Amino acid sequence: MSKKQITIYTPQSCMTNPVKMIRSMFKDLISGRELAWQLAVRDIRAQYRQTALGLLWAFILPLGHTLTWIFLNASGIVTVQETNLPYPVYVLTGTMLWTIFMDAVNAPLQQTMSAKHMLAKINFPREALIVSGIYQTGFNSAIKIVLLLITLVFMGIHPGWSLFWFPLGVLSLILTGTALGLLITPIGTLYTDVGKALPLLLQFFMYLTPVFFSMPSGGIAATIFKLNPMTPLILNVRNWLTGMPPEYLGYFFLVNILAFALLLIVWIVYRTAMHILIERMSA
Amino acid sequence: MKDTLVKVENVSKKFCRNLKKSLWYGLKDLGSELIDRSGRNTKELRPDEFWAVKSVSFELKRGECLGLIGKNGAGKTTLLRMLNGLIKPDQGRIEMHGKVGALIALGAGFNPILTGRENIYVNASVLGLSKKEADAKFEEIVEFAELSQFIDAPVQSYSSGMQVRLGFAVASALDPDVLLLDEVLAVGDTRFRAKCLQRIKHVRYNGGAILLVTHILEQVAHFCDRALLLDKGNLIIDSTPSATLNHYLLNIKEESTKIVTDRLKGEMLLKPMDKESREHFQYNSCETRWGDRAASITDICLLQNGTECASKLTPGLPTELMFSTLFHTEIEEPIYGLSIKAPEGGVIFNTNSRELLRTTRVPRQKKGDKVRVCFNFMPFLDAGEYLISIGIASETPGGIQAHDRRYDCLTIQVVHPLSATGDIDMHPTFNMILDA
Repeated sequence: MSKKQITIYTPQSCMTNPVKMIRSMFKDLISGRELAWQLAVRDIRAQYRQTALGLLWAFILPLGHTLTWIFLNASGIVTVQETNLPYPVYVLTGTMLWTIFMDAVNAPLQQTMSAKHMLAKINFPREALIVSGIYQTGFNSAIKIVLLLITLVFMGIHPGWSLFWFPLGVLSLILTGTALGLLITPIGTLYTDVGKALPLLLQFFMYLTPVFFSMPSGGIAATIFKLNPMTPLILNVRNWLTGMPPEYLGYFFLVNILAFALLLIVWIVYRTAMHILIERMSA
Repeated sequence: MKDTLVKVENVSKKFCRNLKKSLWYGLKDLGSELIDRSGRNTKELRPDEFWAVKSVSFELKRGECLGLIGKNGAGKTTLLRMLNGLIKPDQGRIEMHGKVGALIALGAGFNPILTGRENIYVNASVLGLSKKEADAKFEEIVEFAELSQFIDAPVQSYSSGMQVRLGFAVASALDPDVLLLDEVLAVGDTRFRAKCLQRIKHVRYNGGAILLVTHILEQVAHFCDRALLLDKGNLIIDSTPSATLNHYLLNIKEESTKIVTDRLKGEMLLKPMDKESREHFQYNSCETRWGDRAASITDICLLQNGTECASKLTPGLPTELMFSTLFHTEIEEPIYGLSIKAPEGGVIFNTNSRELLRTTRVPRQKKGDKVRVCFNFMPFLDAGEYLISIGIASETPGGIQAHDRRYDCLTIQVVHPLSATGDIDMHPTFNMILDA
């Protein structure tokens, strides 16, 4: 017989021994690596196997959004301030990048809720669900980006060397999105209110970010746009993609550091919460 | 060496009846878990809470199979989920040694759109097998599930039985030290079920331990060395299967049977055999006797060659097994059963009155009736010791209700002039055929 591991369960809070907790967090992250991959492959396959348009769906929804706003702007229903890029390019890149962020925000809660049955009955590294969500967001983003690049070339935009920074930008979008998504997951698992309110909040959030509109030049709106942590992310990632000079770089890195710290904290909360959530979410 | 694989000490768990409150408590628990380093306030019940499991302690040793029975809501599944580490105990301590495998949710993580092959890998991964291990066991899994023709078809085209088979095959490829089973043996057809049981026994012979939660009391009688009875979260009894099963049937299961059997308590249970027959032939004192005692079996007698209560049987000769049944309540259509087992536990022969009589019906029996019945058979058995089980049961809307089952109540000795090895005597002869 091989060496036996001994597992002990007590009512004690895992916060009593933080070193042990952090060690087991990373242990689970590593041991759940393969599972995360399997789950991601399963979900991606299942997602596209039943569609005729397949991968194109990742692109169609943001494209619809873009066309709406181009129409609104062109017909004069809404007048948008002058942008540094041609307006269709500005809106298309904005919505594409925003959907990447949105996917990342939605993923943790979505993954946890759809794995409810598994969570309630099988003991597997819970981190795998989050990582699987990140893989899936990454996969869908890759499709979007490839199609976006092709479209941009047709629109006459040639990105140049700044494209080198672009993957870093996308990663920071996913990082921030995952941290925020994971933050709401524990409460969202208990109360479905969170899941219902989320799309509304994200939509509102989107209008406060330079996705459709350029940065307002003055007034209260300008202050809100400047404070919004998503502003430097969206602006810079778009600029790297289109070869424009970067803006608010300092704030960009600050947001990334904060998002990373937040991710670590909410990871601990998520882990701790799982026992309690499972107890409450199934009979 | 018998070392302990599972150690449960004074474990308690509380649950909440009210959903809204339960969610609110969940939120509070989360808060206190994160902030208060001393842990949650776990000693007292808050409004609408109750103890789902209360101060339960037991141990499970290597090679043991422990049955866990109780009514719905007795806390069996909650206890199992704590052992599996899904939820934390509110009090007490649980120690698990080695790899824990749980056959609880068969086919968890199956996606109906994907093929059987793809789902095997996902499911194996969820259960903790690496890709490499899954690759190595893939053939074995497919073969066990008997699905090699359909392995590349989407799982949504499988019948529910096929899905369960696939789920079981994956889950049982795990080789755990501690195997937790929750009602999973009630699936599939009889033949597949037998295969599953074989698989499970394997875990035990390999030095693992099994905890079996079930509603099918027969399984406890057949497979377990020990059984626990839970009622309203409390551990009522931790004893031999027959003691636990009887306790369950007499005190817990239904109020109606309780009335019938109250006066039987003690008297019948303590006297498994009437005195004279005990002296006569090989009564097995290790029998597992259980049932609700709406009827009880007495005066067992085995006849061969005109010898009453023969303890040594000759193979192939007509044999009669007689016993009396005393009815303590009215029974619509009693079913009398007989089975013969090899010493290592495999059932060699199994029959019952309903099968044998086919169209004729056994008459309804009134309270106080005493009936003597007889099974005739020819033991085509090879030399050796065999165990005989008899029983009386009847069909109820909720399934077969055991009244008095006496597993392994007799040990018989078959003597053979020409001893061979094996279980069955086929009356062999041997001739030399010479070339003409």
